[in-house]
Amino acid sequence: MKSYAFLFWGYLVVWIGLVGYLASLGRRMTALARRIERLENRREA
Amino acid sequence: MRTGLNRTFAAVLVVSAVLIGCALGLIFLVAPEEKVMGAVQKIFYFHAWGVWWTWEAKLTTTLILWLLLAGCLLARRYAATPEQGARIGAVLGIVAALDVPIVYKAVDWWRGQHPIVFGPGKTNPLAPGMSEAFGVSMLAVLTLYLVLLIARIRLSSLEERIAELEDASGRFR
Repeated sequence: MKSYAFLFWGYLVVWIGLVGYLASLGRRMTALARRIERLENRREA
Repeated sequence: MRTGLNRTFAAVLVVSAVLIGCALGLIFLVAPEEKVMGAVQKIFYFHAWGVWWTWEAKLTTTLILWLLLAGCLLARRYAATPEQGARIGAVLGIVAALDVPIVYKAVDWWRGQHPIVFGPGKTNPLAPGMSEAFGVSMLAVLTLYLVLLIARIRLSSLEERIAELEDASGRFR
């Protein structure tokens, strides 16, 4: 039977990409929340 | 509102991760192996076609759907104004939604190489072990969609708040 093992590597790349995308969304949300906090503190000061 | 959204996001993220784990377990440990392609069929099925690509009705309508959705993203990002991007994106989104039932019915309307798995006369088309894997996978993908949707809503609300605060600080500087 022909080997299709390379498809598993492709599958792994898709999962890594998805996890990376979710991590980048999380990082962006945290960064924006911190920026809001700074802006709100500056406004109150 | 922000805390509520955060809690919902965390809950849906956990549910999604658990369901994805269950789906992978069912796919690789419970669902039976295909005769020709073996274990690799669980992630990519194409032996019925014998080729990587053919201009078959279901594949072609799916390609059109992908192009419409890619066009939608491009319009939202690169249009001259955000309003114009939103309008073009909305039109493309409606056309893409109309294409979805066409993709589903393509195998009935234009008989091509694609096997008919679901439809009239097919009472239990899935092998034992496949139904569970299929059902849990559908739920896992649905919850993953919710995770991404909530994350986008949260990001947009944060960006709007920053714009408001920057606008206000500019006004009183």
